[in-house]
Amino acid sequence: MKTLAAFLLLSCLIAGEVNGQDRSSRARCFCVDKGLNMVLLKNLDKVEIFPPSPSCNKHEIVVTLKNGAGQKCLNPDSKFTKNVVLKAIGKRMQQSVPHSTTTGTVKSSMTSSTSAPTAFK
Amino acid sequence: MNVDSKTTFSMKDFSDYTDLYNYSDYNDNESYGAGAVCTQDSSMYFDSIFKPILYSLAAVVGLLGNGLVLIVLWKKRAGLNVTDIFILHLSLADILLLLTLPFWAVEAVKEWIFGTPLCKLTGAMFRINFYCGIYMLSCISLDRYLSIVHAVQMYSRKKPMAVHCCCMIVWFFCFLLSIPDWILLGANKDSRRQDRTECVNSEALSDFWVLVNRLIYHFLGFIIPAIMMVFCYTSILLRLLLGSKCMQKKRAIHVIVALVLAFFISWTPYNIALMADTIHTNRTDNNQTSCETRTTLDVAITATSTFAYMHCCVNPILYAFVGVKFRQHLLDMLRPLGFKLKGRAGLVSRKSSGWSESVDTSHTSAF
Repeated sequence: MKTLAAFLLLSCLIAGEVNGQDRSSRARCFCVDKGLNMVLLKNLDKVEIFPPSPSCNKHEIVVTLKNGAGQKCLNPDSKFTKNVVLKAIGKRMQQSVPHSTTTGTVKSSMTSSTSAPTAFK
Repeated sequence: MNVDSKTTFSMKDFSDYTDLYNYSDYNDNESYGAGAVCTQDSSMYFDSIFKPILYSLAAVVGLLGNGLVLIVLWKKRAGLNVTDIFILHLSLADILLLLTLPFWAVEAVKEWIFGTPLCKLTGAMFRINFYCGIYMLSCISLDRYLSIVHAVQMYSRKKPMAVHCCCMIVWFFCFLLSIPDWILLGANKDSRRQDRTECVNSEALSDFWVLVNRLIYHFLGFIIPAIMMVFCYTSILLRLLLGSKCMQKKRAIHVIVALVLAFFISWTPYNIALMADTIHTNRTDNNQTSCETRTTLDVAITATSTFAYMHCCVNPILYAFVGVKFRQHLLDMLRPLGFKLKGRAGLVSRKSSGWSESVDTSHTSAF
């Protein structure tokens, strides 16, 4: 009985080691560092927001720059991100209320677009 | 603010802010390489080429070898000895693990198309047999150690059920290790991996748990079995070397060295790759080479893990076919099919009196 209890405890200790075959819980976020604090809006082509997913437990913001300049990570905690990107999210959320949309689900505790933006949780 | 799925904005979403935003935060001198994006596209491409080829090869070769072992042992099931029973369970574990490889190959090429229930089953089956195969090797080494060095029969040939019970305990322990797989694995889409559905946990672990799980794997899956095997086989070698020289003992020594080398050659590179990945992940690194380093580590882990699974293909050769008696049984089985016996197959090697204490073990094994 004690042996069984020990095995069960050991099994619980490994509770998180769940990654199918051999990915061995490798963390593979897109962003190596915190990311840029801001980019020139005129250089922006696209902004993508990635929620936590099986290979990364953080929110990440990846911007695609114009003229083949590639992709960069944006710091989710920078003032630029909070003032521009998060407001765009709020704006889209408001626009999606009157009619259905296939855009990714966006939830917000903001009561109006004039509320102070909050950081990603 | 919660964003539950990947969200994309184009320029028009920001048109209201273009002229208003204060650029005081903008710094042209922000460090070179800051904001680098490391996608997994390269390593995913490598997986989609490498895994189908190697996994198919491993599955075919391994299933043939282990299947043959099962057939031979089944034919002589009335007279199985201790080592035979461990080898039987080892082959069963290897077969079950190899059967999961085609699923992972399909996942690497396309995505996980088999649904969540089969994901749980395949993942758990992989883990159970991954650990079970390694622990059966440890049991075999322990049995041989007790038989040869201490002349202790852990189990009597008259009580094969005791050996089966020992194996069932190992299976049960490995089943416990797979419980998290049954609970948490699922077919989940990953927006960072080309939006593919994969057989993974739905959420990534925190860095702390990643580290804990790595350490547990290293100890349970490699260090403990390795210590057991090294200790047991080293003791056996020392005992053999103390005795008189003879051809059969030399052969036994070669087999033992091959067993240990095969284990370490198979598993050490994989453990080293995992350790390197763990070290790299936990180090703050703000330079461009980290993208290349991460891709290299991904490729290394895929290659070394595949190499480790090849151990399932080698086990039949190392543990079963080296046995003189085993090969005789195999030839007896093949004779009705029309295979011709080689002339020297009729020869019977003589045992010196020094072998009397391990006569039971020599029934199947090479020594």
